[in-house]
Amino acid sequence: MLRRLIICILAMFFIITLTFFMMKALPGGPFSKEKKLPPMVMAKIEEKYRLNDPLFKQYVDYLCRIARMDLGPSFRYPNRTVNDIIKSGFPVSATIGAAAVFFALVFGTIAGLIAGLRPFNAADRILILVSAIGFSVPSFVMAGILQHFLSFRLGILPAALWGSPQHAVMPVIVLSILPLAVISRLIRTQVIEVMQQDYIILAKAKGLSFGRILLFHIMPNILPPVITYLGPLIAAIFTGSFVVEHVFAIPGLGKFFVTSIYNRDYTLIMGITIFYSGFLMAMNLLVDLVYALLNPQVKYPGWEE
Amino acid sequence: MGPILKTRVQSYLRVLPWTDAYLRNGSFFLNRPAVLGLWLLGAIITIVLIGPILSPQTPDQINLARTNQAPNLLHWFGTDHLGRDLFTRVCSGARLSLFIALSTAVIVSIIGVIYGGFAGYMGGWIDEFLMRVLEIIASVPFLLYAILLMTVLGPGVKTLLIALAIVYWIPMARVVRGQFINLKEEGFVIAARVLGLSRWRIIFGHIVPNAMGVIIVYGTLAIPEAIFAEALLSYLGLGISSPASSLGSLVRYGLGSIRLYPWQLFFPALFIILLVLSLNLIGEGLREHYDPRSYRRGGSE
Amino acid sequence: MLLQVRNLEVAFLRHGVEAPAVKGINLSLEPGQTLGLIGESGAGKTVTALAIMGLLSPAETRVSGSIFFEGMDLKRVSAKEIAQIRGNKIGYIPQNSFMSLNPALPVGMQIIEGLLFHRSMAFSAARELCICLLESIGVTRAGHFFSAYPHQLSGGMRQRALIAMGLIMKPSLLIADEPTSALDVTVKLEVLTILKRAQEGQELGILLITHDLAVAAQIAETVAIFFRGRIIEAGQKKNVLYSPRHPYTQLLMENISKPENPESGKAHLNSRIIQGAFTIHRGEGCSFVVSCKDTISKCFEEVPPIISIGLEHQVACWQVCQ
Repeated sequence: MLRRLIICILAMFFIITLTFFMMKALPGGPFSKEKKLPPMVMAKIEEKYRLNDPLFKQYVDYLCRIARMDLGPSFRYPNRTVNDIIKSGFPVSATIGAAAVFFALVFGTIAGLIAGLRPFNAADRILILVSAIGFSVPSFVMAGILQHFLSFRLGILPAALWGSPQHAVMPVIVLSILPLAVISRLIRTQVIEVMQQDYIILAKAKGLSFGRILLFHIMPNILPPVITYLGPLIAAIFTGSFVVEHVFAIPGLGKFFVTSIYNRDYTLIMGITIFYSGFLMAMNLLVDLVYALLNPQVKYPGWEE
Repeated sequence: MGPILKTRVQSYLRVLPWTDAYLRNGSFFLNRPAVLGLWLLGAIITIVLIGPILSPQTPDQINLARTNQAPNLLHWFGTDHLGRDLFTRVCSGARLSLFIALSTAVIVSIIGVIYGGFAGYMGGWIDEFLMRVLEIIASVPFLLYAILLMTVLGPGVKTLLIALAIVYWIPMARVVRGQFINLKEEGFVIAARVLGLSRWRIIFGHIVPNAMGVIIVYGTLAIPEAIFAEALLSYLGLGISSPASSLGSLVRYGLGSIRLYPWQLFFPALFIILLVLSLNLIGEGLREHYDPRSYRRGGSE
Repeated sequence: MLLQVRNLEVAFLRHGVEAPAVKGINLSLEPGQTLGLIGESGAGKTVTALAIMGLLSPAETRVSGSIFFEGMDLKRVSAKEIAQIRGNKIGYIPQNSFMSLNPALPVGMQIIEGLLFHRSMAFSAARELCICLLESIGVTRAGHFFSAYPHQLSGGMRQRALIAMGLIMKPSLLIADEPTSALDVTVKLEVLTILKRAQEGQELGILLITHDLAVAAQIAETVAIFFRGRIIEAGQKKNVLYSPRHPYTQLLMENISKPENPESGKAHLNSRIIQGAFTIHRGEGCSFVVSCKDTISKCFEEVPPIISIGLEHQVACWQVCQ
């Protein structure tokens, strides 16, 4: 556990340093896109943002500010700080992300169970096929198609922007497709494996009802790989959100990130990168914790008597 | 030298899943989805390679008189907003995407095998250290790397390759290391060590051929991931840009005009989907072939 | 008559081809009696037990013959009824103690499941019952034991948990599949004593499956010797074991008395001698011909039927019964 923590901290350092130096290596700053500013103004700006200081000093400055959780003002929109932007964008992304995770978990598990309990049956074959397609369709394609049919043709859902629950439907669906496919496959494989175990035979020999066997004997044993997958799942949801927020014009963190790259908005890029990575690592640690708590073999190691 | 050479060649021939399937028991071919994937892939590759030869058009020719045409006899997939023939553009885009994906898979495999193999074989603190470094690199989400790299180094095929390679070697390295750790204790490795063979020779001559199974599986699975990633990056505007076409950039333009000219999205998207699907099916089939344990029908024995 | 099996035949269906596992099995058991099923691994003992309990999946096996339990034809009862019987009137103690316990649940929960489900007992009442039972079979600190997970217990402990699982419902028939094979000698003895005591208390009929002749000799009254899917000798223990007539049984008994053989007393002969096949011997003739010392020509032509040669003693051998 401690080891993981240390690795995370090291990784954060790594990311911060990486983003910092890469940003410095970028040709052009946020202002080179617009018309040339008079040299006096440029000098003022450079001083304000301390662009003239030696590189190392800038780096240390930055590290200090991060330690204080101050990510600085946005280059592009000097009136707003990076912290503000993150604060406004994150809840939006988090809502969609959480909904997608929930959706994928619930439906993926149900689908996987149905398929796994009768392998190679009709339902199972359908699942394998559909999930294979689910892996293969890029999210932006799916997004575009859904947008086209549900918004433009049928008009039942709003095409873009944010505001009401209906705005969330399509993004959540698109975002959850890949995780759904993966989870249902995982559960299916796990169910098939668990069903072959001796304790299931014993449970049947005890004459227990199918419902009871499912709840107490099958379910607890199929969860481990799914929980392990939660970490990469959250990462996948993040990357998925970039695309989804872009297509559906949702003012979430992903969209700000993408635009900040176009705009060469250094501080925003770095700020979001650091926030995002930190959050992801925190989530991964949490998942590990949950796994350790739920797995009796980790909770109580060793022999008695 | 004769029989040794033959077995050596045989073990390397296992690189080609077909020959391996033949050498073992052909069970790969019984797997219907995988065979379907194989056919699909073959069909796509044929179209992509031969199609442009058959069509009188070229991918780059701008023809402002014939913009945004629906599919017709002259332009089989229609034309884009600059009058360029979409069929040949999709074909050349597919070729480019495939090339990128394949190269990535090869590079990634090589890096992964070397890194993972070395770590797994050496064991001890070297292994621990290498794995920690790996974990640190891996904790950064892929897109971040890709985006940062692309913005710094500029768009283009080379940067794309570097960006993809930097990220996708990690799962391969992990898996290869796992295999090496298992194989390290096998009899033939100990025998080789006793014979005094040099370390590299053992790794490449003996262990790697036996780890080929996982290498192939993960290499094959890396290809569709690379196609996806390229499409994603191009979609975000960070990949290939005009006039060169890749499937991702074609989709990007297509999505913009989905209301008016849906075919501009349909064809490139279809190709992406089919390519990725067929490769996934093949990859899954290979995985079942090498590790059928979890896919066996539930039943006695 | 507690259990009566007539002409049981089980065949596995694999890729459309039938692979017979056991054939012509006849067993009978009275309450309070113990019947030992003895044979090497793969001879068909466990298959027979699973068939009796109806645990063989109909999609993959074909079961024919009749199985009567307390007068009921188990092959004709509805699924609901047989679920009532299993775990309730028929108890089962499986072989592999580690794999047979659900790693995700505490052992105590698994033991009392039957009580909670079949008898709708309250949890605390069930727990008390369980702890009493555990103490009576020699588990110290039964409270701790109850909440322990399978991986925390040693092999002997786990076996005791499984025994408790089988006994707690006070069944009329207990099927014990190799209950002692993974245990050391002292623990073996304890387990057998527990079973015997339980039997006395409840008029319990026990079907004991084992490959260890010594174990069978200790607690069984009647035995049946399995060889490659068929019963080749059966009857009262004193007849079969102490004056065996079938060459295979004789071979087994000879092995017992070899002190230098570490596996003495077990149906565990050299595989060069007996081709330990999983499936039944197909084709004509007695399946033991390969290793039999006194064969006559008929042995190669027809499968010998099992014939009574005395009071409570049946043999299937042409040599013995012309």
